Amino acid sequence: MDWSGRSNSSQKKRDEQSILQIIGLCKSFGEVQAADEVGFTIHAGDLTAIIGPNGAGKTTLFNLITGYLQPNSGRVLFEGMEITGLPVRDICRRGIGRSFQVAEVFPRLSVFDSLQVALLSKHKRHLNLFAGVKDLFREEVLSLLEMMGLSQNAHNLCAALARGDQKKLDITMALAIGSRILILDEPVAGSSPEETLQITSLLSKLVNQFGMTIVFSEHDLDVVFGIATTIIVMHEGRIIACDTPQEIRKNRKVQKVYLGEFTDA
Amino acid sequence: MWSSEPAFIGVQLLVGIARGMGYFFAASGLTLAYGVLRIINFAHGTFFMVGAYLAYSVTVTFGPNLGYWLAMILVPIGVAGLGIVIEVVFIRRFYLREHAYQILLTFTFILIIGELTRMIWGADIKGMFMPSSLAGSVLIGNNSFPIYYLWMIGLGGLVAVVIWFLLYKTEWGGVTRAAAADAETAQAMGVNVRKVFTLVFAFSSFLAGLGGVVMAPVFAIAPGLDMDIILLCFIIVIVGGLGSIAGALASALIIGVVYALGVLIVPELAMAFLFLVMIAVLTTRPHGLLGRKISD
Amino acid sequence: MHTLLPTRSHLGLLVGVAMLILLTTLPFISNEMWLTIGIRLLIAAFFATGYNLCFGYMGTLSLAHGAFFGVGAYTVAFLCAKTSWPFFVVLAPAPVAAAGFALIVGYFSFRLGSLFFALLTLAFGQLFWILIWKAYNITGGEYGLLIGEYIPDALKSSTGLYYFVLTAVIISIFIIRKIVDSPFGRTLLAIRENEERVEFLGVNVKRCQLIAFVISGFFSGLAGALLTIFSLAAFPDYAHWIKSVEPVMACLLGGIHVFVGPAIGAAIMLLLEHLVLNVTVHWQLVLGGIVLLVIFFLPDGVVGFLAERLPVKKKLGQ
Repeated sequence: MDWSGRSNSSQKKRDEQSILQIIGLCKSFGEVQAADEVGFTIHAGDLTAIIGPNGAGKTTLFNLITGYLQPNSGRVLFEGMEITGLPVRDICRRGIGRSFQVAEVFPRLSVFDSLQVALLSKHKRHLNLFAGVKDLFREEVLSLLEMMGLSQNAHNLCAALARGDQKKLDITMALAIGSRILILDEPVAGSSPEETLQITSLLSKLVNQFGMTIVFSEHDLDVVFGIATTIIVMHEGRIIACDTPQEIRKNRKVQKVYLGEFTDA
Repeated sequence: MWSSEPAFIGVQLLVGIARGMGYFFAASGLTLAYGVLRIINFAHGTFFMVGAYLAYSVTVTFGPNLGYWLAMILVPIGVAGLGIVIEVVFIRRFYLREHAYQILLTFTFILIIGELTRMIWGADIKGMFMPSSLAGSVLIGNNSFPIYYLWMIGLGGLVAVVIWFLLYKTEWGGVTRAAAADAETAQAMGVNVRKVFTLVFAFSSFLAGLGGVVMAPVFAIAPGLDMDIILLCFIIVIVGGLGSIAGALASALIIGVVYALGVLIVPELAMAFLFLVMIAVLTTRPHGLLGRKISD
Repeated sequence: MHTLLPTRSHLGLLVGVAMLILLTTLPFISNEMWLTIGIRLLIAAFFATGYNLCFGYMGTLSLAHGAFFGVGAYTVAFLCAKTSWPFFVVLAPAPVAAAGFALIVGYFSFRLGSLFFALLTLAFGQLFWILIWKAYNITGGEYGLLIGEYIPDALKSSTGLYYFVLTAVIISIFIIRKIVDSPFGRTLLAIRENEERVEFLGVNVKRCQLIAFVISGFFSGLAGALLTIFSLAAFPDYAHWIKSVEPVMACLLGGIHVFVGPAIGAAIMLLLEHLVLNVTVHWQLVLGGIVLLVIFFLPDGVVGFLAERLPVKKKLGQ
């Protein structure tokens, strides 16, 4: 079932502008080829899932895109501009937001304070040495919390949050800095079914209502086939398929490599 | 006296190598402890100093000949015992805490043990006589070279080989390396990681104590020695690569030689120069000459 | 829903006002000895509070701040002894020089992880100490650099000196408090909690760390300058690694997560030192033992420990 409410990819009436272009990305660690000629294009408004067994290179890919790792070769273009090799902070300032597998955020800070830090950075006030910070950007923080369903947690410490809420906060942080594309590393991993539902509907809402573009990696195939408009399958550092969910389901290579079975027709 | 005779320079080189070997005893223990336990024991120099003081006392009691050999056997064991007590009672509880607290813990040992040392032995400089069997010198060209330095070079090489053998050719070594690489997995596979850690720390202290005994006859034993040694060890271990024994050996020899030559040229600032070397290495090649990747 | 129990902020205010009254009237209600202790305490508390900007708020253990203290001390002493500049002009370069040295140390030291950082700062600190020790032509070596005759008369009396130090310390601590409560201060807390995450918020983390480091170095230099004026000399001890460890212990003792923690820790250390030295000369032993106990049993320091146990109501939302 396609929850995103969109029709078949090749006939979509939407903005065809490419927001993220990955071209021939390669990265090796010693003898291990973590990324092998990885290339694909993300369009604005896409909700793309990247799947693959552990060690396929998903997190490495995210690290390469966001500048945490430098590729051996290849290019990354964001909104048409080259961002390969830029430091993380520059890439994030341009509009790429990231969430992490381990969504610890800031353990001993409250949710409110954590988001406030994100906003301070967004508005470039983080180097301000003398203004009082207590109520700075209060409205913005509260409305973000409201939108993501975290209002009741505003004054809890990050470390005290439930897993799912931590993940939500991580995503909110990426949103808060004004991202136009979110790169989410396993946003529902370790969440309860209710939390998973909350997060997936949140992701859909972000794409449909707020014009966000999302790329996420996940192991939960129900989630993936449920909300993704495009699925990219990775294996041993290479992309072996990139297509709509229906086509992926029928793809023999994917079945053999990832789903572990070979079914006829 | 200054002479640019090649033999003189060669002798200085050997002096540097000998002293480097001395530093290697201490540095090897420090890098071993870090490689397995991921803790930097700032009090390592203090163990070294305690070893030197104990060696001094033993030779005062038993005379320079019997005393030296007795010290060589007993003192490292004694210091290892001290290490075991400290590891079991204190350090063990800090493995999971932040680096800052680990560092501070070992710093308190510097204060406590250092002051105790001062109380027991006093603050004046002690000198230790070397055994007559190792005293004297040989002639190289026109220069005399102490036999004791030859002994240090030989013993250092032997210790390096023994460490290598223990780590790579024995079962205990294999277990230790497994625990060093991934303590959790090792524990899950049945390794008594606690015991391994204690043994490694004990061995590291043993090496520090041994270094203290071996170096005692060639330098002044006084309070403050611990700080000199630990800083030197840091320089060596960082240049060689934290966690690498071979790196510590190579680096210790290099540092020993650089220091020996530096003392000839600019005696006042030789130590300062070493620090600059360490800073240069840390900023250009943080994993040292032979260090493996260390994630912080 | 009234309660007669004081809230935390009420208690804090009360204590703060009491302290202020005590501090400003100290010269009139105590003798020479306590006044001297008061001056030393102000300087130690100030040193620790400035240090905590780096340690408690940014989560970075530096072992070079003793050297920054020393830079401030020797800058004042050197300018006093070798130039004929008026006294108050001589004071200004001290913290600036310390800040400059902190900039150099920080630039190199922040490139690597926390373990290497501590080592590098220790190395830089000892490097400076060695230079001071060896360059005895300029610095007087182990005998220190004496400046007794250059001190203006106003500061020669304990009372005059006390008020001078008090003013400098109060203004500085006020500034530090402002920084802690600023957006920059909040960002430092985030860096302490999760440095990488902050980078992903678009923040140049290294730059923030360097700024905080230089600021705390600045204040360390000022503290060193004040102590030099008090002792009428700069000594190599003022740059030794033990000087670097003092503020760390003060912070841990008092509590690194509270603004007044370091000051309280410094006060406890100084008072203990005074008491212990009357009994035995082995102060280092006692100090080591105390710190050992504190990091073992009181991870939040004395203030944190008390805060959990005092019957005060937390203000909602704090």
